Amino acid sequence: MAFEDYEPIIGLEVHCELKTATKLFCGCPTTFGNEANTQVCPVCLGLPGTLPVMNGKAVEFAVKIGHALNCTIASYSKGMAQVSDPKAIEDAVDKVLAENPAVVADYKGGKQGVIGFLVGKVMQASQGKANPKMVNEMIKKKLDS
Amino acid sequence: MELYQKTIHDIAAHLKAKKLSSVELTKATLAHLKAVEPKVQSFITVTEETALAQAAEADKKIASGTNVTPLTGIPLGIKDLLCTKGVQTTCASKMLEGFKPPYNATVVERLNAAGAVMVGKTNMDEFAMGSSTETSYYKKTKNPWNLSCVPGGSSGGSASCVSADQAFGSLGSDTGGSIRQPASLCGIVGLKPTYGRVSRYGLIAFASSLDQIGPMTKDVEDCALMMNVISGHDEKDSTSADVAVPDYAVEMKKSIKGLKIGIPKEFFPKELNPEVSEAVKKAIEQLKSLGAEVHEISLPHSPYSLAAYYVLAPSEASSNLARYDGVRYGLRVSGENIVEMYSKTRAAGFGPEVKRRIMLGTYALYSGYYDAYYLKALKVRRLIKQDYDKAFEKVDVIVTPTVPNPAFKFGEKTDNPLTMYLEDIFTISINIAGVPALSLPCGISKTDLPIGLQIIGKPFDEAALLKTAYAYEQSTDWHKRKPSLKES
Repeated sequence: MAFEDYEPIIGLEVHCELKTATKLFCGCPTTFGNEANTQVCPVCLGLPGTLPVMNGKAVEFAVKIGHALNCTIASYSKGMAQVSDPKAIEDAVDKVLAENPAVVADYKGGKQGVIGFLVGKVMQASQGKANPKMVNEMIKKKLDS
Repeated sequence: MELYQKTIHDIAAHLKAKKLSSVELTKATLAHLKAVEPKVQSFITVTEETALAQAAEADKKIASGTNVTPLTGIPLGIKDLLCTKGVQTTCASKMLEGFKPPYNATVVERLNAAGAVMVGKTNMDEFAMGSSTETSYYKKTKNPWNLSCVPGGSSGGSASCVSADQAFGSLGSDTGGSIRQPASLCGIVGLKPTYGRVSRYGLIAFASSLDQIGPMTKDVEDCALMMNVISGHDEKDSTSADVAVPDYAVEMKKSIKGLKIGIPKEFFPKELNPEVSEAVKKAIEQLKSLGAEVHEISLPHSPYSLAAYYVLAPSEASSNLARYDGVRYGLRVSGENIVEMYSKTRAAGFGPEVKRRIMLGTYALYSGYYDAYYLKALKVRRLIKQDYDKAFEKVDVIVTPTVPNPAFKFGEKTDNPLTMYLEDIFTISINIAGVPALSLPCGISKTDLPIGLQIIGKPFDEAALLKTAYAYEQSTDWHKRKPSLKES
């Protein structure tokens, strides 16, 4: 295959340190350069019996960047349980395929690489909970037939 | 009656009237504690020096009349999974032998602020996993009513020290029945608050969505006095509820006329021990004669509670106990590399029941099994909670036996873990639903062993539990009976 036959699909995963005054789960400062072991407490040391308390500012920042990047903000966390129920995945896949006919046509026309886009759409719709491997296989099953 | 045999509210009156000092009281209590300890074995650590220092401080407060509370100068026991600053906290495990937390649990801070005196850290099942205190790495605690019987678990030492008058009250913890079952077996009062009523900061975690700390006392009034001190929101515990704490000692004395009591048919199977059944039914009749109304109710998903618990609790435990790796605190067994250090440390530090539950939990959370086990158990949890919500639309409190049988002998249930797990059959759904429940004595068996009555309440309605219990207790004399410390 020639170079022109390849279509680059580039994803960016960006890690960004949030500029909070204190740590994520306790009130210890996050300043750099101080002496070792001066900015720790039983909570961030994970000592037995301690409990984390969420840093509100970090949540604020996360919501802000969510808005800036046009994401959907979940109003509450339903937990990180992964959805692997085949019926639920099939329903989600059917919906995404119906909503993206152009991309489906691209895939069927030979651009197999766009499956990534479709998987992404299903992940987004399920708020990250769908089992990605099952989603990929389900889409292939539906479109290759 | 000896001084150490009195209740908190009785002895507090003596202290307030300056008939005796806290130092005198603490010395007398410690002397008795040490005298019976060879027989009962309630304590992992006795904190004599700390206790006397705290008693001296309490005496200063009483003398000046400042900051005196009903608990000022009163000797108490603290279950050894509550962090006590500078004092060994082991969770009855080899893993934390010699571990001295650099901080106090919130409940301990609150007791200290109230002027209480800590006589020692009490024995328990290792990491709170068990119903007999037999899994403790350190020692076996005996039931003061019969030294060849278990005191129950996991708060066995907290129960036995109160029953044997080695302390005026104690703190225990309850994840599946660990306050109520030993309270029932040792003939004392034990209360598991609503999830979130009492701060868990400093409670070394077993199952974070089920654990609660609660008082274990000689009578209901003492329980109310301790609840007043330990309850309430704590900013260090995000799961603690911002709900006002009533004065439980006042609420406790309110009338129970017209109180609606629910009797769930699932908790009275045909095979129930006839002595337990008779004692509980008599207690229900007693409550009726005191003005309560009795209604039959159903908690249909009760048969699934044990199974749901033994997926949920070990799953959470496998996560909570992952921190014991030999790196930062506790036992360390060196290895050729870090993974070997982890596995050797955990192999040596944990007992068999703890290992069993960690493995169960790890399996249930394993990708591929998560849906079938953990997620399913969460759904069953929701159904169990709904059973209670529905029942509480019709009744104010629910009454059941606390446990299916009185105290059993050592070794009787250790061959098959499942027979031990069945001990918790009446207590476990309460933790799953997050509602409060209390156990108090309602009878003595033919073999001279206590029988317990369980009273279950609506979320944050500990007041209803205490007033129901108080009314019943004051019309009987079970709470005045003392164990003989005999062996048979």
